[in-house]
Amino acid sequence: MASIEFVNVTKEFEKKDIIKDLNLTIKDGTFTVLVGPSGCGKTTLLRMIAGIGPQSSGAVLINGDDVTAVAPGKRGVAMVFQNYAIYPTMSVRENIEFGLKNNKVKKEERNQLVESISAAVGLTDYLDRKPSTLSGGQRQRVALARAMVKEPSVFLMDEPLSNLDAKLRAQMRLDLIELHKKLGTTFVYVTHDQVEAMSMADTIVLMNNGLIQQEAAPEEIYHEPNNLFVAQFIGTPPMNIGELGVDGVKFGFRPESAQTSDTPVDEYLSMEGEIATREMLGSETLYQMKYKDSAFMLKSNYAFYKVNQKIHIGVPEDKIYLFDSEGTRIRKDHERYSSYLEVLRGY
Amino acid sequence: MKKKTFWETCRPYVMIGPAMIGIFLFVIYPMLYLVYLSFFKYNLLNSAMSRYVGFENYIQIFNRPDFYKSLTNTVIYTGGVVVLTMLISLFFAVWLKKQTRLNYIIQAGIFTPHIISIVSVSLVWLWLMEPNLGFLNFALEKLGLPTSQWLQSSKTALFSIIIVSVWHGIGYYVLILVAALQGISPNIYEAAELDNTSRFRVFRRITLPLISPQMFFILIIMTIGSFKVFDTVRIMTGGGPNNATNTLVYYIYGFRTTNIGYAAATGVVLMVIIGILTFIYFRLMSKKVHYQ
Amino acid sequence: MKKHNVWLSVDFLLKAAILFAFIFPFLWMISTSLQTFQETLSVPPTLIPSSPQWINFVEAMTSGPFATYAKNSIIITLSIIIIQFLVMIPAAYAFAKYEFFGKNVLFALVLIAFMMPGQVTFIPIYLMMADWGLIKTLIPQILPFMSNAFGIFLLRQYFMQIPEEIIEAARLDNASEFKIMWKIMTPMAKPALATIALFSFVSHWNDYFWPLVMTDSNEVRPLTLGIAMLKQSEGISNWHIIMAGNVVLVIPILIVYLLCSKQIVKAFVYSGIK
Repeated sequence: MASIEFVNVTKEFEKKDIIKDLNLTIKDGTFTVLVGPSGCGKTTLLRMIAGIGPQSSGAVLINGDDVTAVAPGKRGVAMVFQNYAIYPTMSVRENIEFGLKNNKVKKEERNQLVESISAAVGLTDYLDRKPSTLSGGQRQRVALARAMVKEPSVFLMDEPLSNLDAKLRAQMRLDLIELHKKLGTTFVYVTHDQVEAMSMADTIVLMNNGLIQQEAAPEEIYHEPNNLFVAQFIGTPPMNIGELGVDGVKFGFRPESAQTSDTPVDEYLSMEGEIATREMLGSETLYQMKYKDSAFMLKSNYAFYKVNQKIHIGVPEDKIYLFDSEGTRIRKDHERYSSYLEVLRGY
Repeated sequence: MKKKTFWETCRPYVMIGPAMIGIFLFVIYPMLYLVYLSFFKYNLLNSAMSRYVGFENYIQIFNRPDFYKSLTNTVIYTGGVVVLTMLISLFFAVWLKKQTRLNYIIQAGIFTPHIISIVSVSLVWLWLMEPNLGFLNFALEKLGLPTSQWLQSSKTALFSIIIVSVWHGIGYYVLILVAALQGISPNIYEAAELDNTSRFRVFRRITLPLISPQMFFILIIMTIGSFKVFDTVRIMTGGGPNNATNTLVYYIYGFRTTNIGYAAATGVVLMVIIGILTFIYFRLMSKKVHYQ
Repeated sequence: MKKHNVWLSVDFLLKAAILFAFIFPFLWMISTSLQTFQETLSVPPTLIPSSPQWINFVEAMTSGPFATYAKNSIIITLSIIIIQFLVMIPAAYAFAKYEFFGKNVLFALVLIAFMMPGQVTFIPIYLMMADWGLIKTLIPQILPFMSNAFGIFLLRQYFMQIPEEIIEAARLDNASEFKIMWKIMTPMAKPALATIALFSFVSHWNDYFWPLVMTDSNEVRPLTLGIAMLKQSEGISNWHIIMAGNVVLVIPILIVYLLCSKQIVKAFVYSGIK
């Protein structure tokens, strides 16, 4: 069990700041997901915790202790890598017990640990196989077992599911949630996939360009985005954004927030547009609606609008988001909130 | 900021230490020592008697016809070996590139001489090329072709050595080119076929450019390798007849005990030649000979 | 279809002819080594000896201290390979995976060593060895090859291809840097190491130039020199004896090649493509 704290950390790489003066606290026992587009610095943070890519300045604290001078193998952390980083010349058993051997764990204890962990991840029959003979999913589990067997206080995972096919990935997501519940240790998970972030996290840390954009629970990050970037990163399809036409302010609404109808809808924001594309997803249908110069995505339970058909949509007031010209969210307590909202009335 | 510990700073140097000591002691220092020696009239029995002579050894080199003879021989030898090997190995590689069992056996067969000592190869060919009793002339006669004096005539000796060298080395280059050809994606050829490209054009515009890095590798490795030719000469002809096969290294070898300063100066000339070739190699290598 | 078949057989015949051109000299060598002196002189040449003259081998091997030559060859080649590996692996690993001051300059020296042949440096090295009083030992034939620049180069390339994550995973597993190098990286580099070992073996077992210029007594000479000297000791016309000696030199390597030609061919291709 351990909490993790970043204090004013900066990471320079080739004279460029990848991360600048970042502060973040990851609470003990949480499942925290670092998410963001590639190059946003999320993996850099993870590597700082592990100690394999130390910060240029600032401090990383595990359980309140500065671990800057502590070697990676002595931090009580374990990591699952994106490409699994399995030792290819060792058997599955040797892979799992390598860390234990280095920590001088006795043979009986070692064997017992290996047996129980491999049973837990379903690798018992493969212990003497070489990794090259295993499937992608099995290798993934070797990497997981190798991390679990050390009984670390922090689990670090760097896009561990990105090399699996879609079906297996969905299964592994559930397995990881369950694993976290069972172990109760701190999980720090890096991904660029917001679906993974939303489905697994207790806390999402959304990053862009080395800066934390928002740190919140999935529900909050979805419903109360701090800024335009968060609003557009989370959600599939992302939030619709339109120009308000005043002070560079933008408005937005989620695709599922709009009611659709053949006849005009009596809601705060209502407009009439033309269906441009239609994607049948099963329980829902995605439409792209052209309105003036912009296009909005709509998610509807009604599957029978046709391309080129004119439709009406309506968005209730409490589902409308406003952002200023910098992209920062304009909340209800903003002095001009209602005057901006007023503009949408006759949009 | 994590400071590197003293040991972490030293570790790389400790790890490369033995290798660097070896390189310094047996490559770098000897190169400098060679240059130093080239300015002396060196006395092998009593090095205290050695005498500094300035550039005299170099002046001597460039005024001696036998030096030019050996340099010309080396250049002709190198040109001959490089051109013949490149052409023949390219031809063989294109011919044998399909992955069949027969082709593999042929490749392995052609490669065999490469792993055999040049001593054995030279001795066998010395015997094959024996003008009166050797098999080669016998076979040529049977086929109704003109025979040759091979190594025993100053007209044909150098060419005979070229033949042996090409025969000895070509298998390696065929292997490399075959691998390079097999590495080209078949899609490219299929695309060319759809574009209705002639076979010759495909070879010239697609195959050749794509294997140019390997061709270039072969060119340089062989040029440098050929400049130091010695073994075949020493065993098969001893530089003769009449200096017809005296090459640069054999020339240096001849003076290694009798006139060390002069041999060293000639060695410096060889070093400069190899240095220039190496420089060209790395310059072009960094630009990557590849046209995609 | 018929035309196709004709082409195929022409193709086959030509290939067979090529193969013959590269194999025949060895067959001819073996044939000669089993002939009598008279048979070697006959015109047309004898292709198959009437009765194999095994005595030729005895004569070749007793014409000089061949047991010593063979022993020297084995000691020299094995020592070189072992020393090279001990020196090369840490160096290649450091060049591949560590950053340190002067790395590029030092690696440039490795490349110079890679390109500079012994034919340039043999005179100074001989004088050094003579100064140190080592000419009567095998050391001048072993020590100058302690740093295999080609090997360092190839192995470094190979190490660089190994993903950094494997090393990081090992560090997280609390493995020492030394352990990472020997227990993880070195086993992973087996194909490169096999190639280098093979190259080293072939080039030093077969070497002629270096022992020639570094030795002046039979006690320290290797097999290649011994065989080459048959030409002088037996006289230029005793081809059956010279070829018998030659067979002794060639057969071991030929047997190894026949047994594992696939791996050897692969190793050589690997060296050229990288």
